[in-house]
Amino acid sequence: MPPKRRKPQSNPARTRKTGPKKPKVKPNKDGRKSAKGPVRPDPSIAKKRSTRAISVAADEQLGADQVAQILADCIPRAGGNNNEIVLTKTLQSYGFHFQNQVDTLTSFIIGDADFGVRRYGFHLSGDALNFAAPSTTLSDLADAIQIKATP
Amino acid sequence: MLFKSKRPREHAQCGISSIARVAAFALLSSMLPFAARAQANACPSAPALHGALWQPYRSPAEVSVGFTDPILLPQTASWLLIDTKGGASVPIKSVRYPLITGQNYSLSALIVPERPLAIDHVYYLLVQGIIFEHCTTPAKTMSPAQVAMARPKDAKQNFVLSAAKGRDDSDFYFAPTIDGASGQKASYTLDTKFQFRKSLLAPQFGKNVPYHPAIFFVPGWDLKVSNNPKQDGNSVKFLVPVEIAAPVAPTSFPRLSQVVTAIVSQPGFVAEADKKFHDVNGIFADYEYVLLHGFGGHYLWVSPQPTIGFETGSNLKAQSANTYPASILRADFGMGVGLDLFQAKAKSKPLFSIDANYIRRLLLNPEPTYTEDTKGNLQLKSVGTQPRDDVTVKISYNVNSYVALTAAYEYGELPPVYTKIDNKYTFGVTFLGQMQYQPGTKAK
Repeated sequence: MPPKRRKPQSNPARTRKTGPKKPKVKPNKDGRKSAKGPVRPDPSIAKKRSTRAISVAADEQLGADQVAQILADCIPRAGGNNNEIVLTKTLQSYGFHFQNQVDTLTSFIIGDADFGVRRYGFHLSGDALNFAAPSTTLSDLADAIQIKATP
Repeated sequence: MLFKSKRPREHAQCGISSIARVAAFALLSSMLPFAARAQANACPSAPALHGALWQPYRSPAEVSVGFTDPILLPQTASWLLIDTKGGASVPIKSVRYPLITGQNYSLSALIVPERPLAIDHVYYLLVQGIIFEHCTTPAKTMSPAQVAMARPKDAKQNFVLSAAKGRDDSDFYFAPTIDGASGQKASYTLDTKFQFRKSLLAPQFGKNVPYHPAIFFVPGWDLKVSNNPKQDGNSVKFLVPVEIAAPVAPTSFPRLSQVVTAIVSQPGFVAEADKKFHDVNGIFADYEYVLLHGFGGHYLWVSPQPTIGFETGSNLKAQSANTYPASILRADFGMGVGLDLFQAKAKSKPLFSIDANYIRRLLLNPEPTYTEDTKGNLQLKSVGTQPRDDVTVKISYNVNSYVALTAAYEYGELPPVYTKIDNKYTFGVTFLGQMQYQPGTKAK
């Protein structure tokens, strides 16, 4: 099979027309432009952003290792027990007896920036895990997280 | 604690003795799990690969695949990646088993092939010699796993049906009943429920991000009607609520989150009526569920859920005149406790589960209390503000995912007519289903 033709990264004609980009110079509070040249982003802020949202490409998916880590982190924090993660078990087996508790678990998976899908720079819609109930198996939940989480 | 009510002593004693019998039954049932302790750390009978996915955007590009059961390190398993176009195997450069952070087990493998996989080929992953936790020998047969090359196209189109645990967590519930006896007219009961959840705001919390609770719109109905005079009071509940789930962020409130995991608020309009619709109230109710962290071990897990709330509204139709001198205003508090007993650590579902719910309604304005004669007609007993309690206990024995044997006990008084439900027992077989939205698993 012939290799797929790659789309060029940028349009050279357009680049010539517009010319090289000038570095933006941010004015100071008093309106004067800084003599030191372009303003560089604060490295501490950049570091925070990189730890919070790892840059991801368009159709990336969470790996099985990341999904397992999310479940292992979110289940005890959402009120469940610390048992080892076994994908064939139900949420009820981890202490999620009431539907309210399951909704709390899905809130942690969707919304927790430190332990949910957001820690890997992914996003889930608020309806993505609505199907979860105490009788839902972890494998069903893991499938939904892996397939529905988008960068 | 649940039964320290201020009811007449004979009723309280009767209730306590009944609950004692139920508790004894539960205790006896709990012996079974401990008898099965020998099986607790059983080797998984049918472990499998799960969620195999080609991830070319990782560095290095690799296939991630999960296991249904934990594995301990080190492992000396041999992996095979087969390209179905031509049937050749793809050479594997390295295999890693990342540990779950803070744990000593792994639940996945990361396989780096010698060359990138072709996106339009179909690959299967096979493994031999993997040893799962609690096993002494490698798993004998494990089905090959197809490696997904991209996100399924139908990820947002599939509805699947799966079992629900009970009426409370079912999205649809339909239970028509016909009761008949020789020489008596047949009676009909319809117990039905439907609800649909739509997210209005996705949750967001954690360090350095703005806090958003999860907000859902949950329209639907909850209806139980009957012409059987022996059935308890009808309750027609139209759900027009907004459900607000506010999780307690562990990183922002580390100490509080160890006790309280979330607070769930469920406001909604309710129309409550007796079984002949002679007494109808229109109510706005708001309940706050405080979700406490569960406690227990491998064989027993307890989930407490205290509740506070209020109900306010007015009587729309009265059985007797002058029984509602003012508008309806109630302050409610209660406790729900879920208790699960597991047969063995390796079992996926609990053997027994117990639901206990208690609610006390403190009436701030007078409301009537009725008794029922032998024909099922309501007789006014009193009008007052004495607290009204209700206790329900349900025990389920899970035969399989869709079938459960149940026993239930109920004692107390429910609005609007507060006819006493006096030590009511129910035994039955329950078939349950839940409508679930779940993505498909077809690879592109």
